[in-house]
Amino acid sequence: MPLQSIKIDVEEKFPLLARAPITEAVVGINSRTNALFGEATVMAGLKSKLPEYPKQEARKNKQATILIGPDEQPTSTVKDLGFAGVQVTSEDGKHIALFGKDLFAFSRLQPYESWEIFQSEAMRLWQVYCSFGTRTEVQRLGLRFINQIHVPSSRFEVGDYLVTVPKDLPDLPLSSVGFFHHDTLSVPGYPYNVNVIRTVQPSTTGAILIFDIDVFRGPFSLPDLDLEISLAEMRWLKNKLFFGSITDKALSLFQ
Amino acid sequence: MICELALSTAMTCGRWNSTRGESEAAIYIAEQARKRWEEVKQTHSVGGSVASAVEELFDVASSAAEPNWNGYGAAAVSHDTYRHAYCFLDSLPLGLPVPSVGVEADGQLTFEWYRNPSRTLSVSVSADGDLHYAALIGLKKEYGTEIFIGDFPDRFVNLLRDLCA
Repeated sequence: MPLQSIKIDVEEKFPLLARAPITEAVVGINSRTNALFGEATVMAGLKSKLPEYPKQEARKNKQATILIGPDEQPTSTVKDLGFAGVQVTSEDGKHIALFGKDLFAFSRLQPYESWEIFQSEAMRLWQVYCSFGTRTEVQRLGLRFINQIHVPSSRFEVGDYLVTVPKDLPDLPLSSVGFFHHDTLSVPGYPYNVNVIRTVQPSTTGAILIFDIDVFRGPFSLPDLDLEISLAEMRWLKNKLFFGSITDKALSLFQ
Repeated sequence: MICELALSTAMTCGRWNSTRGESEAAIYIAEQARKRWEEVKQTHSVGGSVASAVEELFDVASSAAEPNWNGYGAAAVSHDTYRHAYCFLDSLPLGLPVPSVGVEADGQLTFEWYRNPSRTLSVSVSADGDLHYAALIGLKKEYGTEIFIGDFPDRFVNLLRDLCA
């Protein structure tokens, strides 16, 4: 059966949720540069360009080795394999960005404010990232939203919150004590794929139903594609998946 | 006998092509995915051959960890090359044939799927995570470069299907 085509409409409006369950929103961009991505230059550059991100931490690649021999005490060594990037965090700890050699990632932790604020900050930091070396080709662009639905009881019906649920066996009445469901979906007519994960995280006050939507696309050249347009399309997909997957009961919790 | 365990052999690879997250929820999801994958890989029936290939990769990389390992001025296998090669092998979908492992004089690690002289696929992994490949499937030759970012490339899945057909 041929797949139905999808028409992305970035102008479509979705309900604004006063208590959106978004626990993290992330933009991740894998790309390469020929420029030298040196620790001193990047650290100094970020310090002067991003004073609102006072916590800056250099990331290093390390290799740990343990030697075990008969009649000998085990010994361990850690080898420093050099600079891998810098992670910066805003004063309130809600914005985290990774400036890696081949990876830029920007996370907004809860509370999520709005798409406009999130996207605009991601693009601003991306421009800072590109100032350390021009990026002409992107290997992967990802937009991920992790939602946490807090459920008051540890025993609950997933179907009360999500439209698609694991099915019980008709002739064997087993009770579910956990699940981890991962789908990877492609979008007909568009270069996008989506990882969708539904799982339950234990909690002291009941349970947390996680609904994780990660929209991504493969390689493209930057002059040929506007990152912001692509992100807007990916956001539409994320919203369609989210609002199409939650029940009215769940929606009422977020309004 | 001295047993050397490089902890990097147990390094964490993205289990699938996923956008990196920083929240507790993102870490929980990654851990759960990893746990489930490890449970499958630990079975002899499904994961046994991958485990052997991982050991082979470690042995080959260790044997070429210093420059001039072949006596002819070969480059050492770098940690980055090993890390990418490990994650590439880790991303191999279960059920696909497992490759043999080798190393080249330029320090790249290679994976080879060999069925017969006219049906082979060879993939070399560089320190940057480039996957240079060459395939011979009967009269068809295909070569190129894929960039590894966590997922086993679809192109290789298709080539392996052709190779085994």
